[in-house]
Amino acid sequence: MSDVILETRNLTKKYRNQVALDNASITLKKNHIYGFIGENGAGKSTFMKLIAGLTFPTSGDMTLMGETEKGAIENKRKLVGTMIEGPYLYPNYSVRQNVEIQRILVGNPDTSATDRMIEMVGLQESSKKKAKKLSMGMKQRLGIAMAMIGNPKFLILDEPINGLDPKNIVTLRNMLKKINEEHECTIFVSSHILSELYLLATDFIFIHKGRIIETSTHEELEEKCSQYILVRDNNIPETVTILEKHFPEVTYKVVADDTVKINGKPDMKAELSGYLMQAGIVISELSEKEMTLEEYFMSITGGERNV
Amino acid sequence: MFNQFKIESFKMKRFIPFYVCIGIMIIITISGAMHGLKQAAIDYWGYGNLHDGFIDSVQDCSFSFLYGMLISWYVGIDFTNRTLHRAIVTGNKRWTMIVSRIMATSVLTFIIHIFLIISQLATFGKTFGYSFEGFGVTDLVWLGVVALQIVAFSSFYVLITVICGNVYSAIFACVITSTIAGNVLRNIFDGNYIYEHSFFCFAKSAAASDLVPCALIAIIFTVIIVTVTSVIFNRRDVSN
Repeated sequence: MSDVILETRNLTKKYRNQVALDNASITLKKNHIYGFIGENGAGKSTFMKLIAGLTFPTSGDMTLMGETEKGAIENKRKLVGTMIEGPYLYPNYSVRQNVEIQRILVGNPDTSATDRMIEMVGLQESSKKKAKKLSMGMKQRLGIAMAMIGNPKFLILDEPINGLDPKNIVTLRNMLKKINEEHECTIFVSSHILSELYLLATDFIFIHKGRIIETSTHEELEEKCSQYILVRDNNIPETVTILEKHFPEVTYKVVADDTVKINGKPDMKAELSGYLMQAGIVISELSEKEMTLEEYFMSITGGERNV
Repeated sequence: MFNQFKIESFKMKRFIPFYVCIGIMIIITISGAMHGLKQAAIDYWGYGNLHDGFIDSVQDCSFSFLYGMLISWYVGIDFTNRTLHRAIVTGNKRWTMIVSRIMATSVLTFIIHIFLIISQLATFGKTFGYSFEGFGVTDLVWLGVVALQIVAFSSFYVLITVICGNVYSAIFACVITSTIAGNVLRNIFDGNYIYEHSFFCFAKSAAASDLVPCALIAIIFTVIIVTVTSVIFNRRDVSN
């Protein structure tokens, strides 16, 4: 049996002349937690809505749990839990009624599942409270309970930590990890709070201006983020020329008149130093530094550019 | 689809505007039972017994605007609250969402129409006495045909709501349309065969010449409207 839960091929979504999603092709494997990273308006929600069936692609197709045909995909969606752009709550119904409605909708015959899910997200004391009276964090947790009621194999969560306080963020993170481990559930979670995704996800997918620009495992990303080389010298244009000639595979950014930042490849330091000295460039600094996930994200989304 | 019917029945029981409408009908009933008919109305319309109250009310579409508002409110709120999304993301077929909502709104509308009939019977009963002489099976058939017309009526306003895509514009559009179709056009097209057999205007009599075309038109239009609504909704992005 395939270990792929979702595969998209060139999914494109256009709204009139605006391309919201541009040939997005990704493969999600079972039991992984995918962090979906992108700025506001990058196309994260659009992509998730396409997967959830709320919107239709302009072109491209997908395979969900081995199914490609539209009707079969719809049937498989019973095994997908979603929370896209907030939980869809009946504001005047209680917590329990909201979860119960979802249980009936997904066709889960186990009536005890409602209370179990409410307990799982820690809302048992608020189960009679109306949804509109809940705090933001409680609503998010209720959304998770509703998404989980059908015993999903795939959970799609769009910005689930938006509006949560630090305590609730930790609670949610632990809950998602537990769901992933205990329910063998693949989780696809988007956020622009990168540090939080870094603590949760096993894999990362970067989206920028509607295009999937990179996919990395946690280890790969750790490696990419861990180090960069900072060069400060008296002739940056010549340094750039040397970089482009001898290290065409690296990306860099001129961060000041006398400074260039080179991503990855710390082992190139000695070689670069040799080329710079040969060119008669006076080096005032050539050092390895660490990059945060935010800095890395900026570097791959054009926050940094080659000059 | 059975699951969706269960949910709609749960929602119907908790739909407050429905109870407000019922409350209005109860007030009319109490008022009618206390005051009865005015002599001027009896003289003008020639009312003579309780059955005339049934005849008068079963075909009464004066409250079309209320029915239109109720239907658009019930269906539109799911768009605005984004609760409709829940049925979509859980893999339910979109046409089943349409059919289940039409069933629900038809039931709600029919119940209010029954309350309207009861209010008229109370008013007529006060004046002529509560004798059920003259009532028969044909009246039940007549009521059944009106029920079919209410299903077609609901389908039409569900279609408008789906096109609008949110509760506020849907209520506005449906109230305007139902007021024109139910209250204004009946004065313009009084006696017009097509209008009087459409679902905007409930069946005028228990005669087969009225009931058969009314029932057929209601069934045909329900099928057409459900199909059109499903096609529109099937192609619609539900993203807001």
